Amino acid sequence: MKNLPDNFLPLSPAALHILLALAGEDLHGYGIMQQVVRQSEGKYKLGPGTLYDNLQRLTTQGLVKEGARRVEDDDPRRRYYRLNSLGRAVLTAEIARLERVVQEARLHLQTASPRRA
Amino acid sequence: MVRFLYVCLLRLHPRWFRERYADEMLWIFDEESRRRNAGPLLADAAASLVRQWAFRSDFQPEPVAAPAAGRTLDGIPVFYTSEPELPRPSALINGVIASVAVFAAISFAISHGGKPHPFTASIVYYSTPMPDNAALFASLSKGSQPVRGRVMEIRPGDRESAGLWSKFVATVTVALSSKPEEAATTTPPAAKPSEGEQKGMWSTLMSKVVVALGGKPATSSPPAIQLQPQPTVFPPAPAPAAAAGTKTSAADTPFFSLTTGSSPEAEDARPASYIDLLPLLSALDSDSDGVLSAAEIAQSSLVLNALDKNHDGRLSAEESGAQGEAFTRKKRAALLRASRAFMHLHPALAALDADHNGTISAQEIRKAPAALAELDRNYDGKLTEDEVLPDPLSYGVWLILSPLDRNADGRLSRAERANPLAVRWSDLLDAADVNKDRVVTTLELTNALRDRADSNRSGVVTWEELRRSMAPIVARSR
Repeated sequence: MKNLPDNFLPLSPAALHILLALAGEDLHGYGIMQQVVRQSEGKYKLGPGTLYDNLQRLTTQGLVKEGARRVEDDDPRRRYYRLNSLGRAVLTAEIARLERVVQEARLHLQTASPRRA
Repeated sequence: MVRFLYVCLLRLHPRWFRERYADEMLWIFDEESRRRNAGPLLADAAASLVRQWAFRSDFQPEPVAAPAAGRTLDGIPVFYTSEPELPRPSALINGVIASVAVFAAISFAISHGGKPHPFTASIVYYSTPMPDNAALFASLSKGSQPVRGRVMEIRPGDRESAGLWSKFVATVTVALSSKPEEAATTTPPAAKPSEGEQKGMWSTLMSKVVVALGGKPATSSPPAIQLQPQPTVFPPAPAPAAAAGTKTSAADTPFFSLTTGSSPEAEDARPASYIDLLPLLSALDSDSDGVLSAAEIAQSSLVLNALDKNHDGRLSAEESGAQGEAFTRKKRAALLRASRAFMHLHPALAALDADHNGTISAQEIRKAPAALAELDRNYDGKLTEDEVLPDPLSYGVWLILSPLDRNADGRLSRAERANPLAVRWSDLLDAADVNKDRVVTTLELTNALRDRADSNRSGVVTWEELRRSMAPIVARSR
């Protein structure tokens, strides 16, 4: 079966935040964790176990791939991850889906608001 | 400590995950633990551990099949090889459990098996009477090299060994008799000795050649050789006046007394065989035919239990037929050494006493049929005399040594050589004492006896050679 972006939807919150973190630049694992904290304004924190479990799954699905090391004197334990085209497409599709969800949510919230007498 | 726990949690992760992400996770732990509490990190690692083992097994890399080259060949099976990946830990654990179960089942089957397989090597457990007489082994078989060890296969020097025991016994009997012709004429037909008669006859046989050379033959000649243990101090040599037919007193009887049985000239009597003379084997030989049949071997446990006079559940050397002062001593160490020497000397007893501790335990009694079956070298299901005979040279050494070696330490000290009974063997003992320290060890005595008995210089002393060697000494001692 062809890897269509819609086949990966919906994304889990952890996968969504990881893809969002990698959308701007290549990051190592610890950088992803810190970026997720910034994105969520500290409301959502990933532990290393959860992070790499999702990275493993995303890598297996072909949404993320391992990038090259940036600096020669960088910590050898650091590995950088990059969002590939499929991952970017999936992220775009997920954002679009979420926008529809948000619009639908606003519509329902406006409909459900109390009418003035 | 927290880091160590974290590392342990990481190491418990599946290998494919650990090799890929453990270093990064540890690096993040190092960075994060400096800034905040490490507790959530530990909890996260524990949750990851459960998640990886329980829900992520589908991420495990599949073995990659090798190119199916065999497919190109018609009729040839296709073989695959996997990458050099270790099996999963669970598979290893299952393998260990299965291996232990199979090993336990095989061990149980072996230990509780029945008759040995006919292809099983016939091994006779044999130990020299003393630890330093390895040269005894040189006589075990023609061409065999001396072996210092405790377990080896014993083969008779030649087939004529069978029956030579009987000839040896008969010759000694005649030599010890003042009037052999009388013994021949007055001997009743051979009959199974009673239990009381059996007691001590073995010890008399072996000591008679050496010790009781001056003893007087009994007026009445029971069948074969009857041994009457005389657990007294060594008396002086009997006076020549102790004529045949006179009853000896306790003071002038030797350590063992001997009454001669039927002479070998008696045509209607089967010569006493080794099986007849070793009380334990004689008890097993219920039909007194000189052969332990398969049925008699099968019943050996019951018979051995009957020999347990003190009902302690095991057979001591004395209950197995050993008699003599060595076995009535109070010194436990000497008794133990003498018991071991006796049990090790005789292949049948050595086979029964599997742990070679000088006694046949209850467990060894239960395994007696299997132990005796191991002696069946020709797999005919029965034990004949040649299959249970001891080594002639070892027996000769023990015959000389055991009455004199009061502390059963395997050597004759100066004091022990001063025993009047040792005078009869003075020539042999002097020749054996090559280092002139007046102490004769088992090894020295073995070498000296071999030099004297091995007439054909084959390196092997047969029963016939032992008989020829000892008969003149017996005659001269009278």
